[in-house]
Amino acid sequence: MSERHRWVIATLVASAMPAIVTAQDTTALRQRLHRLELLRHTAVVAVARAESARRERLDTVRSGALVILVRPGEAWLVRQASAVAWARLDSLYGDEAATLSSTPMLFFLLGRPRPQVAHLYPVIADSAATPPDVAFQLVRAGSAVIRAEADTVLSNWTGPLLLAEVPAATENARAYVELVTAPSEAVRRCYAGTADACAAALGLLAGDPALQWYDVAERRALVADATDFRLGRLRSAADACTLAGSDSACLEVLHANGIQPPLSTDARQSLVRLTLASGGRGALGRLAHGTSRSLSLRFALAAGMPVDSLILAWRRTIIEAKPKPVTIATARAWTALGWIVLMGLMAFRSSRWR
Amino acid sequence: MFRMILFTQWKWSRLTLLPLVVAAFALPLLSVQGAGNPQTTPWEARQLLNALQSWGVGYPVLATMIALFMAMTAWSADHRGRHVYALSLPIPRWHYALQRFGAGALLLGAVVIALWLGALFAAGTASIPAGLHAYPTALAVRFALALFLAYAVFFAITAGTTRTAGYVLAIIGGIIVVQVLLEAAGVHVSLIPFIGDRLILWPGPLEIFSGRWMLIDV
Repeated sequence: MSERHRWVIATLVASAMPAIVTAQDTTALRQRLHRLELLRHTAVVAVARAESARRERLDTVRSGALVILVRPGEAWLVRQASAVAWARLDSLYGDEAATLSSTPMLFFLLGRPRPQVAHLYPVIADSAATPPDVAFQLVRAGSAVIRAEADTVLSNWTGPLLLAEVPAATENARAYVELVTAPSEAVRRCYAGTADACAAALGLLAGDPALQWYDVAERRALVADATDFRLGRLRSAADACTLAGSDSACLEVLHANGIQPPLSTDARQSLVRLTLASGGRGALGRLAHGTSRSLSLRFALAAGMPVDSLILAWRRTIIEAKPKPVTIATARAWTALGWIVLMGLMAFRSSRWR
Repeated sequence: MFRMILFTQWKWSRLTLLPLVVAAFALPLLSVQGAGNPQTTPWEARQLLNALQSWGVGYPVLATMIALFMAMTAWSADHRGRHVYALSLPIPRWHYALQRFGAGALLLGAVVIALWLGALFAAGTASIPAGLHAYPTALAVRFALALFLAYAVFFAITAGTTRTAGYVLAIIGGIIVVQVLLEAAGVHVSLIPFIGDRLILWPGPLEIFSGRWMLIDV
């Protein structure tokens, strides 16, 4: 390159600098990211279409932000299911469901070869699947994609799914059973109504979970429960914990072996569900991104309320979801008696003997 | 006359009914056998609930089996004897059927009492972890309702004519055939799940069978 050309390029870059610098503000960067995302999405769909046109013709089914490529023979099934699935995903995840547009899916039925299209998220259903079955698979796939978009702090905290596939009532009832039965000091205090203890039991607080979740006796019991196979080289520490009552030895074993949280993913997912319900359509966006903030602060921002209020609302929800024991409500007992009488009358009313 | 009918039904059913009474007494005891075990872990309460949930299936199954047996026993001799004995009696059919039904129901009372005693004994002897409660009487009441309901259903079917039984079977078979034909024609209508829900969910007749059959629960 000649000396003259270098000067021309340097002059051009220097003259463009103010424009480049002004373009670095957050809003402009977001707009650029959005445009890039759209371009990526268009490119992925175009690549998929080109591949499908070259190898096997596929239809594109769209519903909301869901983009699904499917064999023409199965398009009716996906068309019916995708509307249901999108409504569900949109109601579950709010604005964050729109990010699904950047991950087109490839649907095919089990037992048939996968269409030869790369770069697409696979969704597989049984060959006898009905539209509700396919909708279930699409919701599941959509949920997995949305979870993959969230940062690892949240996705590790919630477990395999951000929200469980079971109905909220079932999930809350399971959480109630855990709240009553978990061998954990933090959980017992949570049940009694202490918000901090609930936050600790849910794993929202920074610090050593072994100390936050369990008291000395519970830690010792957990170590005593560990099998010889799991203890391995920790055998002597385990003996010091269980026989000599050394809490530091108990902590050593628990830290090395991993500590089972007293409240499972059911309880955590129920908190996510409540947070999304309280925080509106943008709640998941605030919850899923923001590694610089603590998890409890993200929950508070997402729900639009102080974390203590959120935690206490969660506790109320769980306690209200207490599973119905074997006792029968009066109305149910009368209904059963009514059916017994009705069936009896059916047997008595006939005048025929044979 | 009721005493005679009761006595004959007792004679016909006792060999099978007695083991079933023992089973009803034993079921709650078996369901809590893991409670208070010194080998259990800190998660004992949760494990106990899981075990009780597994055993819980036994209650509606036992109720159905006993009810089916008693309903069939109540009418089997009449069907075999072509109802000659019943026709020779100076009473209307409904009166005779009512006495047959009452005798069977009275014998079923023994099963309910056995289950209740078993549940009380199990709840009294088991070491129940903190946070859990025993519901022996509620379990027995629910078992009684399920048992009498199943008995009434089977009694109505067995009391009917062969043609009635045929109609019942034809309706069930017809629903299955319609579902299969609709699927084959590409019409996706979930007929069987719809009917199943109407039967199992309140106020359906079989609603009493659904839910948690747990002697010990939260």
